[in-house]
Amino acid sequence: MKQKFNIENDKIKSGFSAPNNYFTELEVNIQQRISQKKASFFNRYKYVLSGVATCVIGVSIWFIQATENNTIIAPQPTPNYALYINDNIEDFDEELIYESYAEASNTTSARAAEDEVYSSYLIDNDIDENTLMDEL
Amino acid sequence: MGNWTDKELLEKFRHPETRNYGFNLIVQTYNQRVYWHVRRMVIDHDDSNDLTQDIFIKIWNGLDGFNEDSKLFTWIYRIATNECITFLNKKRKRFFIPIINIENELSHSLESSTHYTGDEIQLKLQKALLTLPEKQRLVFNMKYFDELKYEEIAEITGTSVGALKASYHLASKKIEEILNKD
Repeated sequence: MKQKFNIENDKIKSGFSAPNNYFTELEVNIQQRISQKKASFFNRYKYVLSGVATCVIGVSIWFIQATENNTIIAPQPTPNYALYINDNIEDFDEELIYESYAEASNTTSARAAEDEVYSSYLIDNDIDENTLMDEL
Repeated sequence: MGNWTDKELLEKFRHPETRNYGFNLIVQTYNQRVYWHVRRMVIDHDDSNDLTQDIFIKIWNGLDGFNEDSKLFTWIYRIATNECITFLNKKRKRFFIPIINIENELSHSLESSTHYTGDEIQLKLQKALLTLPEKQRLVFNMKYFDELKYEEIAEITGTSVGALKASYHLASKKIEEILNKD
């Protein structure tokens, strides 16, 4: 008589098998997929991240400049004398302007004459200009 | 490989400096159990391989939210079980296979698989299992092959212990009937 099969008493294995070294490869594959996932997260948000970084840098530069502008006294505009005189010419005495101009011209020509005297003296006394500069 | 407790594994995973190492330890500890659980449900090795990887990616994504209201392995088994059920449902829809015929499909897959090395009685048992409703097959696999306690299976499937006992008893009787037929 054929013996009746009892599932609890006659323990049967499943009979499935996996390729050699499968579980070692499985570990590596899972690790790789997780690394790719991390990388793809960065790639997906790299434009957003770079945009945020640019904004932060821009705001920082603006803030630094704004702080510096508050502490340094702003340079005063250079007065434009010629324009001022031109606009207010009736307030100036014409003769006084000529006198001032002539005085300035005289000062320049007097300085030129003085330089000529010194040059003639150096030539006449045969003094080397470089030697003189060294002594000075 | 050392024997790590769930607490130690989770501590390593939650620490930023040992996060990757901790996860690798979780993979090393549970990859075989997850794979065989999946394999018994979806039969084909390649499908099981893809699913096992997907399951561990889900574990990686969800582990920060795991609040230890159950054991780590029951939480992992729950994810694996849900993935298997989702996979089988998708397979039915994709190939327009009627619910009763998916098991025939899996039975063919079992016979043609290069990674099935079971003897005659083992093959017969697997074919008998494929005649069971999906939930009964799941419960039978976890009780018979994984040797889980009813309380653990209840935690994984969200079914009462009484219902599981009834389900397992029915499954065992059907399988014995098929195996004793010839």
